Amino acid sequence: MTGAHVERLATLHDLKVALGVFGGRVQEVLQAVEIEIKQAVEWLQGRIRYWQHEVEIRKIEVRKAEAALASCRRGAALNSGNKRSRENPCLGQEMALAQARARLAEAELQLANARTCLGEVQKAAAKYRVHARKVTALVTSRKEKAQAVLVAARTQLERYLGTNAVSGTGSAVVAGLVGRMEQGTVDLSGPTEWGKFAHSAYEEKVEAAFPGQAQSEVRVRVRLPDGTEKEGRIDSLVGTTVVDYKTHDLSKLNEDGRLERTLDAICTQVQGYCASPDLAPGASAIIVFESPPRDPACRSFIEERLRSRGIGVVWGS
Amino acid sequence: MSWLAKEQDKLRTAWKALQAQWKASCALWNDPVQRDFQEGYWSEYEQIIPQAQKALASLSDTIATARRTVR
Repeated sequence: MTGAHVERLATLHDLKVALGVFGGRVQEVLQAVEIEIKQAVEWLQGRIRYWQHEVEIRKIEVRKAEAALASCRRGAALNSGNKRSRENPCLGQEMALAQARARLAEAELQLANARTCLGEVQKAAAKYRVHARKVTALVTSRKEKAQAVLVAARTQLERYLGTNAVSGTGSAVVAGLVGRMEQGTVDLSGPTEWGKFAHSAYEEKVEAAFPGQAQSEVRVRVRLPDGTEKEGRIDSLVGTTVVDYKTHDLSKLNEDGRLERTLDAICTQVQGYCASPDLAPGASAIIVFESPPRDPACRSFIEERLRSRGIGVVWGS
Repeated sequence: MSWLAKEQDKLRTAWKALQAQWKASCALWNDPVQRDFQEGYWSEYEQIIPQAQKALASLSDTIATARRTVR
C-alpha cells in the first residue's frame, strides 16, 4: 500500500477525454491509410497491366524489325552480285532492331519492377495491418474499459476526498477524518482492489487534514514477541498516533472464535508498530474499521476488546 | 509531404498529446489504482502504438519508393 495523491480529480476526467480524442484520431488515420493502401495497390496493378501490354507490343516490334532485317539482308545478297561494298545496306534495319530490342528490355524491366514493388507494398501492408488490428482493439473495446476504470476511480475519489469532513485533533480527529463510508458500484469491487483503494483514500485524507504532520506508508522496524525484528508499514502516522485502516467485513468473522483471533492479530500488529524503536515512546493507536458489524453487541465487543489493549476504535459508515 | 506522411504526422501528434496528458495525470494521480491502470491499460498503449507507428513508417516508405520508381 502506498499513499494516494490525487490532487486534482479533473485529471482523471482529462485523461478519459484524451483517450477518447486519441481513439478518434487513430480511427481516422487507420481509415486513411487503408484508402492509401488500396489506391497504391490498384495503381501498381494498373502499371503492371500497362507494362504487360507494352511487353507484348514491343515483342511484336522486335519480330517485325527482325523480319525487316532478314528481308534486307536477303535483298542485299541478291543485288550485290560480285560487287563488294564497304557500305552496310541494312544498317538502318539493324539499328531499328537494336532499338526495338532495347525498348522491349526496358518494358520487361519496368514490368519486373512494378511486380516487385506490388509484392513489397502488399507485404508491408500485411505487416502494418497486424499492428493496425491491435490498435483498433486498443482504441475501441480496451479504450472503453480504460475509460470506465477512470470514471470509477474518479467517482470513488470524489466520494472520499470531496465529501468527508475533517475536524478535531488527537483520537477524535480520526473519526472526523474518516467520515461516512459509502461503497460505490464500480470496478473496485474486488476485496484486494477495494482494500488498496480505500487505504489510499484514507491516507490521502489524513495527509490533507494534517499538512506537515501526517505521513503515509511509514516504514518502521517492528519488534516481535520473540525479540526479533521485521519491517512493517504504518498506514498513517499523525504525530505519535498510529492510524491503521481495516477494510475487513467483520460480520463474517463473528463465529467460532474467528473474530477474537482476528482482533488479537490486529492488536498485536498495531501494538508492534507503537513499540517500534523508530517511533517516539508512548505512541498510541487507532484503528479505523471501514465496515462495522451490524450487530451492536458485536461492535461493543470489538470496542471493548481493543480498548483493553489501549487501542482506539473508529467506525466507518 | 505525401498523404501517408500526413497520416503518420497526425498519429505522431495525437500520440504525443496523449502521452503528455498521461504524464500530467501521473503528476497528480499516484495511487494503487493508477498503477493498476498503468499495468492494465497504459502499458498496452506504450507497446502497441509505437509498433504501429513503425509499421506505418515502413509501409509509407515502401509506397513512396514504388511511386518514385515505377513508371
